Amino acid sequence: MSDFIVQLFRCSCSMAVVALLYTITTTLLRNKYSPKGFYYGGLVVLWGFIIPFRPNINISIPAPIHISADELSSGAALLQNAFATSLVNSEQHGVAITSTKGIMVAPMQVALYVWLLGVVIVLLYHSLRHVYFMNAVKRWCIEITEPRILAVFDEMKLQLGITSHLKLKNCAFISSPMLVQMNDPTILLPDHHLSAADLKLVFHHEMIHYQRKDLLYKGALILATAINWFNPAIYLFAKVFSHICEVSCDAEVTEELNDSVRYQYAMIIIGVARRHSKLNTAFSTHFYGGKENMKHRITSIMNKSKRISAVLLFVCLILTSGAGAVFASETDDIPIDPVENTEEYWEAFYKAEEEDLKKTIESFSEEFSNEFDEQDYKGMTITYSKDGITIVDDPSTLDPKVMAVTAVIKYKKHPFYTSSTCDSSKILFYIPKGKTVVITDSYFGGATAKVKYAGKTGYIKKSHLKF
Amino acid sequence: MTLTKKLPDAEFEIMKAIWQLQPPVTSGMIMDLLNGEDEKIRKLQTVHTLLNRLVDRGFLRSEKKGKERFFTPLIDRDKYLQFETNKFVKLYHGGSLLNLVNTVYQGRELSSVEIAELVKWANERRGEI
Repeated sequence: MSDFIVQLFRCSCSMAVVALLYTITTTLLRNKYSPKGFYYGGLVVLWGFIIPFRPNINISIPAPIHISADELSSGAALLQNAFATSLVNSEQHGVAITSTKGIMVAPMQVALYVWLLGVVIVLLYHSLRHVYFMNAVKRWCIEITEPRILAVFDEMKLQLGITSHLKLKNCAFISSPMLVQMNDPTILLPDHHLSAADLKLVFHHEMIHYQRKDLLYKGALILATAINWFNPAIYLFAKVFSHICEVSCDAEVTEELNDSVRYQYAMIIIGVARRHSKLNTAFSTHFYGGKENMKHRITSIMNKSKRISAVLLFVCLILTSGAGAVFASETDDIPIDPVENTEEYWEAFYKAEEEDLKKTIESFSEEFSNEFDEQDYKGMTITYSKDGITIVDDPSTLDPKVMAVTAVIKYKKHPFYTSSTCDSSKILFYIPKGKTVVITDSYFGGATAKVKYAGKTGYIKKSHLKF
Repeated sequence: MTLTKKLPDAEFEIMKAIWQLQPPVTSGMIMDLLNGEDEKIRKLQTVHTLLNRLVDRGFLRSEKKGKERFFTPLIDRDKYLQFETNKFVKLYHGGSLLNLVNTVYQGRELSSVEIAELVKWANERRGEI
């Protein structure tokens, strides 16, 4: 038993190095390499944390790796001696045994019990949280009967070749779509309205989680946390890996998509983050907080270039399997500098960005002339309705390949404003249904988008646009 | 009426059905909805008992028109949802020590300014491609 606890500590310490290296590489190289490689690499590291044995390590050779482990291994030797002496002593001096036992046996035994207690507490904590969350969610679940949603769901299932029992339900209690395990695996949709195109992307994302069995890996991550609860590296790794899980899922969804759909996808994710109340469960796949992570998700989605992946998987595989032996003696030489540098880099980055944001807000609240002059709209059809409103129909068609993001007017007609405030006094003219506008700026603070139409720049309410 | 206690599951089930229907509703309408979507079949007697309890709690108002009794919800679904979510969040993220664990473990929530920044940033990225 003492061998086991020594082996566990040793393994956990060396896995800490691997996890740190994994974190550093994912932070530094995440935009260069494919998230898929990081995902599978992360899975290997995860198993490394769960299984504290390595086939190629000779346990009998005491490798002095870490101060605490060193103490422990010498403790193991003492333990064996203690047993030998106590056996001899027990026949002669009954009193001496207890004192020997008290000093020598205790540390290893105590370590084992403390470890076991920690494992139980962590598992209990996560199970209770999970049960509490699932009960709350189940209460609010209702069947979805809307044919529009069911049609998209079935279409996506067919497209991804899912034939098993994957269910779909509505749950007002949650703020982001998620995949959970109830009686059957179920995709839960929150209450807010999603267009058919949005639904397709949301379903695709959750179905990829389902196909990759990510719920199982979330469970494995909790098991790893329970086993290595004393190791701070596991908490860092859990955070990084959960994020990579989402990013690599995004990458699979957006693999074949064009820029405007990618942008739409990014906007769904940001929209979800906005609505996200503090509801999370460790067992469900969900969106991870933190600006850096969100930013990375969005960069990753918008990044169309192909990135290499297989290399990383092999690196993680080698590191993990050799973790006990190879990195054992290098525990003290963890290269921490790059992380500090990145933090400084990000700080400077945010500062520059804050200034940029100010500029955007300024440019967004730009006001344009409210004077309507027919001379400005040559080649376009201008009609006046009975109520005295002007409708401008721009016959020129836009090539969607050239324009990054375009949107179509949803309703019968929609006002084109000259100010981002969208007052009725700021209406320049109306755009008829089905016309395409080019979005030049979109900003979540308000419900408006800055658009170009008929050669003019102005504002339109986003709710009236179809992307 | 101020909400203090979470509704028991069975009563909540009835409220959920009522919120889905157009008020005022009859027990027959509730029966149809419940037994249509759920595998466990409820008896009319049970539904009546639960409806009476909900009237006592002040969740419903009942009016007798002819032979039928009509029920109107007095508590809005969104109001009750808000109450239950707040209660849940308090317990789920409550306690200073647990909170600390969560902050380390799950990362913090995004503020609206940060979200605005993200959108702006996404727009810029779009421009670069």
